[in-house]
This record gives sequence, C-alpha cells and structure tokens, in this order.
Amino acid sequence: MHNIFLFARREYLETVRKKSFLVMTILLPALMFGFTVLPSMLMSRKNGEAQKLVVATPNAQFGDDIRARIVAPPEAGPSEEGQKARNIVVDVDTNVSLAEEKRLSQEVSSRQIDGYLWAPAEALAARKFDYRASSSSDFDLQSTLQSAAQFALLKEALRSHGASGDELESALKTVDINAQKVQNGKVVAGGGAGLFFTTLLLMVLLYTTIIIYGMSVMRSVIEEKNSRIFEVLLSAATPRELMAGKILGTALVGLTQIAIWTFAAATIGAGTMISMGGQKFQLSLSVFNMIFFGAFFLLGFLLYSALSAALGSSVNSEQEAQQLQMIVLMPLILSVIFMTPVIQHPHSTLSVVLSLIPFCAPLLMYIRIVVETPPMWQIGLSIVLLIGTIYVMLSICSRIYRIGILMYGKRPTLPEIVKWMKYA
Amino acid sequence: MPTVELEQVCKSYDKFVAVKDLSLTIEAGGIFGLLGPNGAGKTSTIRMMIGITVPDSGQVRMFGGPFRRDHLKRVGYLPETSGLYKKMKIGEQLVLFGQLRGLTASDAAARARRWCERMEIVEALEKKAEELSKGMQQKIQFIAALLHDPEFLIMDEPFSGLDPVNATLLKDVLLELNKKGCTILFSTHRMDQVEKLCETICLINRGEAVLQGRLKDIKASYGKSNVQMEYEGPDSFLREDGLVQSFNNYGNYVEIRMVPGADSQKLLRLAAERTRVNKFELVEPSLEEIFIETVGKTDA
Repeated sequence: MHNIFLFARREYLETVRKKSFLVMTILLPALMFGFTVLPSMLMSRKNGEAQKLVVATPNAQFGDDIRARIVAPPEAGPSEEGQKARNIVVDVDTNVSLAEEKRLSQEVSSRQIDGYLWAPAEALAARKFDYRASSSSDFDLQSTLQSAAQFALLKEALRSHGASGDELESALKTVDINAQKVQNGKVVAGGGAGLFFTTLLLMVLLYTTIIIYGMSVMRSVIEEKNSRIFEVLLSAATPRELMAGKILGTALVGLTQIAIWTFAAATIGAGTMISMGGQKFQLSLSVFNMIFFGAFFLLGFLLYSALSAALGSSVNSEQEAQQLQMIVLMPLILSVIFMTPVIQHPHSTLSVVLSLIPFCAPLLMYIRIVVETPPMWQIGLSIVLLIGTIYVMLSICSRIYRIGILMYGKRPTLPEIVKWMKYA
Repeated sequence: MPTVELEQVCKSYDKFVAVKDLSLTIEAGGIFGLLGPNGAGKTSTIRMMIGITVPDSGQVRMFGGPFRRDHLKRVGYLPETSGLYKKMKIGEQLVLFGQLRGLTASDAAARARRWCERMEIVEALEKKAEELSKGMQQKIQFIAALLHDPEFLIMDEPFSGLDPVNATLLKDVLLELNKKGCTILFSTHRMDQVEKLCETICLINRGEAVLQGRLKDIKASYGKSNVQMEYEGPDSFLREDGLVQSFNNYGNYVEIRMVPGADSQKLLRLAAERTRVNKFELVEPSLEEIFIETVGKTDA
C-alpha cells in the first residue's frame, strides 16, 4: 500500500506541476464551449454588413407585410440582438415583368443587391416562391424569408375574412414554448435547448477527459519503458503496485481538474445565460451534475486507463501504439455516435441497453442522468456492471503490463499477449 | 551464511533458454564477479535473484532463506541501463527511491545530500535527469542503489560511461562499503575490472556456468603457461608450428599462449635470432585470456 501511495503521489505531483495541466484546466472547457455553442451563435450572427433584398411581387400589401416582418420582428427582446444585427434592407418591387426579372438578376450579379424573392401572381396562388441570390447557402435567411412569407399570406387571408388591425395582431402573436424538466414528480427549471447544450457540453468534456487521461497513462508507461526505469523500480516494488500507483495518481489529477471546474461552475457558471439565435439558454450546471460527472469520469477512466496501461506496456513507441489505440477507444467513439438519439429519447430501449453496456456506460448513462434521471436500479446496475468490468480488466491488464514492461524489441502478437495473461 | 544461493536455476522465454541449470553461491562479505559475453544470461540471473522474474525451476535463496520480498529492502541494485525518471528532479527521485526501500523522506533527503557531496555531484540535486550527462546519471543511480545502506549490492556494469577519475571514486566507495561488510556482486564483461576487484567469479556463457571458483585458484590452475614479451622486428617467429597456440597483440606488448607442453625457451631462442627482445616474461594467463578461451571453447 505504501508503495502505491508513493507512486500515485509522484504521478500526481509531476502532472499537476506541469504547465500543461493549468492550460488544459482553462482551455478545455473554453474549447468545449467553442465547439458546441459558438458555431451556432456565429451562424446566426454574421457580420454587421447590411444585406439588400428585393421582394418582387404585384401584391404590394404582401410585399410590405414581408418587409415589416423581416425588418422589425415581433417582440424583439434584448436577447434577439442577433437578428437585428443582420441588418437587412428590404425593397418592394411591384413590377414582375420579364425585363424586370432580368434586371434584378443582373443587379444580383453586379452585387447591387444580395438577392430577390420572385413572387409573381401565379407564385402567390401556388404559394411557391423563388429566392434568387449569388449564394444560395444562407439557410438562416431562407428560413427567415419562408416564415415571413407564410406570415404575410396568413395575414392576407385573415384580412380578407374581415379581421381588423388589433384582431390581426393578437391572432398572429408568436407562440412561445418553455421546455421544463420534471424530476421526481416536481417541475424543475432548465430544459429544452439549454439542457441539450449543457448535456452536449458535459458529454464532450467527459469524453475528452477520459481519453486525455487514459492516453496520458499510456504515454507515461511508454516513456518509462523507454527510459528503462522499470528495472530499478521492480527491484523495490511489484508491477501491480506500479500500475495501481500510476492509475490512481492520474485519476486524482483528473478529479482535481473536475473539482476546479465544479467550483467554477458553482460560482459563476450556474446562472450563465447564453443568447443564441434569438433564444435564451440557461446552462444547467448543477453541483449534482458535476458530482456524477466526477463519478463517471472515475469509472470510465479506470476502465480505459487499465486498457491503456496494458497497451502502453506491450509496445515500444507511441507510433506503434496508435493503431491499437483506436481499437481501445472504439466503444467511446461509438458512445458519441449514439449521443443524440440518447439525449432525445433517454428512456428508449436502445438508450437503456446502451447505457448498461459497461464500455459505453460512462458516457451514455451519464447523459441519461443529466437529461431525465433514469430509475435508480438502472443507475445502480450500470455502476455495478462497470465496477465488475473494471475489476476483470484490471486483473487481465496488470498481467499483460507485468510482462510487457520488461519486453523490448518487436511488438508482441496477439497470441503472445494471450500467453502473457496465462503466466503465473 | 551465504548472501545468495542459486540451485539448478532455469529460465527460458518461449523457446529461448536464458539461464540453464545455474548454481552459484555468493559468500557474505565478498566481492563476486558474474562474467559473461553479451547475452550470456547475466541480467536474467540478476532478475531472478531480486524477484523481478521467477525461475522456471530451481531455487533462489537469499540471506539464508527462500526469497521474500522484504529481503529487497536489504539489497541495492544498479542496473546496466540508465533508469531514472527523465523529467523529475534528481533530489526528489533519490528521496522516492529511498522511501521505496523503507527510509523516511527526511532521512532519505539527508542521505542523498551526503552521498552527492561524497560523489562530488551536489549540483545535480536540483536538476532533472534529462539535463545530466551519461556519467552523471550513472553516479546518481549508484547513489540511488546504496542510499539505504544495503547489505548486498548488485552492480551491473557500474563503470560504463565513467571517466577514470570518477571510476576510481566509485571503486573506492565500493571497496570501503565492502570493508564494512557489504557483499558486492559485479556483473560485467570487462575483465580488467574484475581482475582487480573480485575474489570469486562465475563465468557464464549461453546461460550455463562454464567456469567458477576463486579467481586465484582459477588462475593458478592455468600455471605460468603464458609469455608476455616486448620486441622490435618482424613477428614471423610467432607463426612457428608447434610452439605458439595463439597470441594477442596489445600494441606495446604481446601476450602469447604456448602450445601445451611446448618449451618456452625454444621460443625465446627463435625470437632472439630474428628480433631484438626487450622483455620476456612467463606469466599466468590474464582473465581476459581465460575468458576468451573458455567462451571460445564452449561456443565451438
């Protein structure tokens, strides 16, 4: 035990003292945030340049309604800066002759206007319009136009049925749906898109930390093997103590990092609002979530670091380890692929089964806990299965490790590794 | 009570036989030389002594009883390959090694400093291993091996990478420790060092002991059958049939092994006829001669 403690402390201090630990503690959440939330924010924001659009339609009222909808969207709250910042100028053109169509197209080519909505009488009747622009990939603008046209047509239909101004306004008022999560029979705040993005963020963070620390165990085993230090260490300690110390020390580094994040989340993160594409998101980072985060990190890490240590001990260089590394990480990557269906249907049979498979459980069961809190027996079962698998994996991997760290030269074949496991 | 006894020890890796039926006894308080060419099984033998690997068959006894892990606290080991954490400060590493051997952190730190002063390498304490030269690393590892005052020191090629000044420093420390009762095992293929230091040797080749016993007895058994001579002139007399079995030219002098039973006086007369002889001496064969001959014989 004493030796395990010595090795764990060495591993812990050596890693935490490195600058890379500090950098990662700060950079990783920033990067995760950048990967998940920022692109959507950027997509809807664009640069501040004014876009000039022309609505070409014989129906001037229709054109004006579209313009009104696009230029001044209803209930523009402070969070909808994004749309205002698009700064779109809309002109209505009631001339829908062939010559005008040609002229507008030329203006698009010469960049005098950014695009035009072609809505002649027959298009109005068919409710099918063309939007013509130099680039037709601005989905956001297209959906804005679509909803504005839909809105204008609806307004016209209501007006033709004799609705007055006030009646129109109240009939067309935008509907708001506020998603809330029910936990233990009580409605708790936070849900919908906010929950989705929080889950995504935590998930990617969990995935990254398990991989980073798992790989760091592998790398440090390879480094120690190359520096041939095992010969000395083994004259004072057993391979089991060495491996246990290394895994324990690295796990503590990971937990330290998560504790820092939890503390940061508890003090500044919990109330963070993210404005995105005109919607308000509240990051629901509760301490409860972070405690489970730590627990599932620990379990996932133990499982994958045991494999990494065995892998590291049986190769001679990181290059050699790389292809095998992919096989080890396969279940984790698979978990990421199944992430979206599990977030959307956390209680489906697929989600339940996947989250009970030990190799996927660290990520997928955690998602389910964040999203809907599954029945206790499922959480319990997945943890028991995980611990059982970790125990089996540790005993198999420590056998490989024990032999591997003293083997130099050619990479062992699979049958050779199987033989190592059988050595007494 | 012998420090280490191996009885009929065998070890093989897959089909490769590393050690075969090896028996040897290292007496307490002595300096023992484990010799052999590269790949002879020296390191495999040491690994079994200190429990890194377990013999396939045979018995390892240490300090008079079967091998137990807590014996290791009384053993110091300097492996042939450098074995330090590259990015860890030397001072901290020495403390860690001391603690692994049962010292307290403060005791280990004090001893590390004392030994570094003795080995003239105090400045290394604050450095990382990767910043040290090969020779300095070797000195640090040497200190790591004896920090806990072991009763039994295993030195695998201890002088490799050391200049003559440092090699002497290290040798003096070893002799001093031996005088205080520490048993020392040298594993090497450098015969000149063994010849100077060891009382007992075991020469192994291809995992088998081919020659063992007290160095004096071994050399005496060969008798003064060799000739050391210095001369000026052609060396054609060395190729005369029936006289010279083999010779080894060291540049300044030649060591000649006579054909068994041949008369060395005849060689002297022959040499005197053709060259100017400055020195002609009958000697016991050097350990290197014995080594080359024995290994050559078993390889043939």
